[in-house]
Amino acid sequence: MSRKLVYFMIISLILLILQINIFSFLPFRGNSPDLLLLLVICAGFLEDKKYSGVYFGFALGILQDMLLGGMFGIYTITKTLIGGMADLVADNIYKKSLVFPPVMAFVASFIQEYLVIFFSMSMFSVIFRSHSPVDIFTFSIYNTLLMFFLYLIVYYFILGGGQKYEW
Amino acid sequence: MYDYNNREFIALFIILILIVSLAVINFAGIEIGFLTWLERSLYNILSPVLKIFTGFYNSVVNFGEYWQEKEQLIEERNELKKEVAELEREKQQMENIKRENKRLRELLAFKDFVDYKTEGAKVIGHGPSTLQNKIIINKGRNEGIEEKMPVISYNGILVGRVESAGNSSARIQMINDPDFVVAGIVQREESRAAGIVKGTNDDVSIMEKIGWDEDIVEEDLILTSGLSDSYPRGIPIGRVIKVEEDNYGVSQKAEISLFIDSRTIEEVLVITDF
Repeated sequence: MSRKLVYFMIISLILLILQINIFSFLPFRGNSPDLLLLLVICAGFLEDKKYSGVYFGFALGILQDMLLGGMFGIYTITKTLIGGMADLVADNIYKKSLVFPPVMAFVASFIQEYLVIFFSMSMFSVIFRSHSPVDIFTFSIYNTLLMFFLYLIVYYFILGGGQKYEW
Repeated sequence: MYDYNNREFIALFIILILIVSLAVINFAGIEIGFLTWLERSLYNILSPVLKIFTGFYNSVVNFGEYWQEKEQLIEERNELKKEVAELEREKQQMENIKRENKRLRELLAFKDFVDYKTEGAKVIGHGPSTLQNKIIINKGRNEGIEEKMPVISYNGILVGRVESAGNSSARIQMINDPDFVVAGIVQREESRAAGIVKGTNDDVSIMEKIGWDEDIVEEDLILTSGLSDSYPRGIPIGRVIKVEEDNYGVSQKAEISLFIDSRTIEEVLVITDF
């Protein structure tokens, strides 16, 4: 098991705790961020293994669905798809850039929210009175800002700016 | 030619199969014991960590507030002392009324109202999604909390119900969760219009299936009807802000402004018996 993978697993647990605890008490216009989504993108971009975004998306999606209970599987599906997207674009980006990951976070947040709303409404007939495009935009902006710091921390401080580690 | 022995291909295929299986299990509403066990175990592992984080967060917030509000607190304490004295007097009066009420009930052979048995709990986290409204509390099966128990706030307003209970924590489905449903009734004596209140992931819920000729107007107070046996009757839900026709005039639906704010709630009471 690579050191990078172990780091990603530890970061996953820390972000999960932060997301359901500290950040849930710090909403921005009623929206809390989705740190697990941001980590799926980071994994897709930075983990060397092929399809790492898909694997992380699947694992973190299941974790999120398990913590939420009802409508099981929706975040597993959306996060796996977004992980796949991150894998697809990973080869074409300059990993040292701090611009592209936040842009990806913004787009992915939009896609995830619309997919979750679509699946929830079509499969479970639920009503979403809130979550206008403005709400989703706010949620995406919050994620975008946090992605900047998360990518900076993960890539430069934890992974040492792209140096290769082997155990 | 694609290499079908490729490990990555097999892993992706397994993921696809698992996703489809999860979707089918969920859509069909099949309950699998292993998944429930896994979910509870996850909460059992996470709850001690969440309690530590919440304690840390609260102490940081409290420390800042303490210096800001010291003088204000002294003033408030003096006010509260006066209020306590007044409440003591009112309590005495209430005791007299209660005794009289009991005597009259016995006289008329009415069934007694039973007080709820409750368990107080603190909110230690929220569900990891902005599209579903769930909170995590610091009490669970060890304190007698079970699935489907109703949850209210300290001032008696409906908060939701216990969705899943671990040993020392539980997940509450909030009243504004899009998957939440409760039977509601108008409080006015001359109305008693009933309907189904559904969460919409907003501060406003929708009350549906109200009879077309039922008397429901703006500003009406909506309470739990107690028809389903899942909730005691008479718990406040919210206030009507809009009424309109539904199903081409066959029924009515109303928008209910909820009394609770899911993001700021810090403490709840779980009704363990009613």
